[in-house]
Amino acid sequence: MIGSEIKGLKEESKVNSKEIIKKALKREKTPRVPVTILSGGTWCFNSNGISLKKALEMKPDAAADIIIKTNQKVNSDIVWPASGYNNLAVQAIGGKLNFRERGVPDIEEPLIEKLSDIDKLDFSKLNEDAGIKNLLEITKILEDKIGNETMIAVSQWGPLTLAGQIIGIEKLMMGMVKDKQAVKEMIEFSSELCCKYLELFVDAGAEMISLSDMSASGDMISKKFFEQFAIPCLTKVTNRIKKKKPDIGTMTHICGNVTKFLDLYPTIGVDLISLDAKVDLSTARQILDGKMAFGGNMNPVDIMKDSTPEDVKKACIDCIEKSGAAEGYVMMPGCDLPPDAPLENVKAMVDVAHSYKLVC
Amino acid sequence: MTCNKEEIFKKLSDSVVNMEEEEALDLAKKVVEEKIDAYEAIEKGLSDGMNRAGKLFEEEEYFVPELLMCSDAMYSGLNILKPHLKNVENGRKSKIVIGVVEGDTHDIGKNLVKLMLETSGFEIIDLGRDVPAQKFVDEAKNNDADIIAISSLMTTTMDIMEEVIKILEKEKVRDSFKVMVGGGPISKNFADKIGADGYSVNASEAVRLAKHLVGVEIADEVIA
Repeated sequence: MIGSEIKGLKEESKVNSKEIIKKALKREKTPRVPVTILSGGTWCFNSNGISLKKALEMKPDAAADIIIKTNQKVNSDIVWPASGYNNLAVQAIGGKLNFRERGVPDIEEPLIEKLSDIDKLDFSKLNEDAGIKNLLEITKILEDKIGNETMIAVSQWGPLTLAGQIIGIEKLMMGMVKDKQAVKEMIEFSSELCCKYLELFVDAGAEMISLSDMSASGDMISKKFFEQFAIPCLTKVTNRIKKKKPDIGTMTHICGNVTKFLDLYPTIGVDLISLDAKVDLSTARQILDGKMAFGGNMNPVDIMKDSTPEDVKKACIDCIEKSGAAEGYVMMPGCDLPPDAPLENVKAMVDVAHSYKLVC
Repeated sequence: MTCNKEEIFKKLSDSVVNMEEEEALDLAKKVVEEKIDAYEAIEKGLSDGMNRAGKLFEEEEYFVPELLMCSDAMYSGLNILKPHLKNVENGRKSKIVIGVVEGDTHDIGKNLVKLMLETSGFEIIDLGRDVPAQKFVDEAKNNDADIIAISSLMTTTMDIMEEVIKILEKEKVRDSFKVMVGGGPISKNFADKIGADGYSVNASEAVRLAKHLVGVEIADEVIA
């Protein structure tokens, strides 16, 4: 008995971050709770006093170095090199971006007036965008330097969110009611853009992708529309990327209260769904157990930014326990980290994941 | 005739709830043709419909797409009726300066709140999106507003809300305005922490909050 425990411990020390995430995505038992920051690109650079614009103008080596050094302090199992830059994909098809001292760049104006104008856009210049090229370099460097032991992942907006960035969210939303066909064509385009963007990063070495689809939030659309518009395109993108690289890890993050969508998530085909603070983890366990992995929940503002490390720990333990303290749960904040979330709080989250004893 | 009038109001209200833009337009034209009071038609027809839509939104029957379609129907009728409003003194409307904080261009939430507040009789000064903290204060002063309503959808920009309150304090006008906040990452906790006067979770609740903040009795919740 004691012998096997010691043997277990030894095995634990051999399993690195990347292997833990790979196991977690397959809902296999892990020696400890898997843990990651959710994207956190803005947090990483801004908390080092660097704007996202500046980070993009740096030599890729230097930017990669900041990411590596930050993660040496944090020990997140996943590192997200292109996080915060999703809108570069929109810039590459003609969007004008506003970069800020803090936070992520946003799109000045919608690119097209009417849904039917989608024909006017093309993504053939996606791989010529200087910023995207730079991010691809950073991804390669990270894959080279820490990719053996850390999961390198890339995220992009999901197709509905991308479509909203292109046409303006209100027109997209109303289109769902009055011009379903045009919306479907629009999403067809944004799915393709999403795939092409992610494929560039997969070629650069990324081993996991994430689709962040805030416009498919349960606070925005009904379950019927989620089924009609969000599920088909999320599934399509996931399948395309899996076809290209069968062992790729896949995740979706959708903001807001998505409890009513939980039973539909396994049909998307992603390995892991990341949940907002508004979703109860015990409900998620009940519905998703044995079907797919899930993660998330710590409130990024009230907990990750504004609480003490002690309270972060309490919240994290609460998450583990509500999620059933079993395989299939990945600890991460409920949404992207605010730029001024204290390092101590992020460390506290990782500490809990590393020290919590899972009863197997 | 009276019966006919009430019937048109009911149909106007229904056209909004059912997202029927053309129908709302036709009915509004009929109101003008029949020389029915435009103010009453807005109040008992279009606004009533929008209130019902807001209720369905709160009950999670309707979501953002449906609510936006309702507002389209409402505005199509409103555009016809507005020129026919007689100049009646209805007392001073409470004024709200509203906007999305600097660095944030997500304005769908703000637009929904604006829509519901407008429908409920507030006068809205819309500063749009990407609004610097100082501008909220300046515009509130210039317009003699009662409430400053601030929206942010991103965790990276929400701190600017606190800046607005600090500027109000610095300029010694904090007590002249009520401050209400909302948006995806915002919570009651956050609102309390930065010293805001109120937080609302959605557009319908924002109306109740605004009424509460300016001391209006909330008695119009009887519409089924």
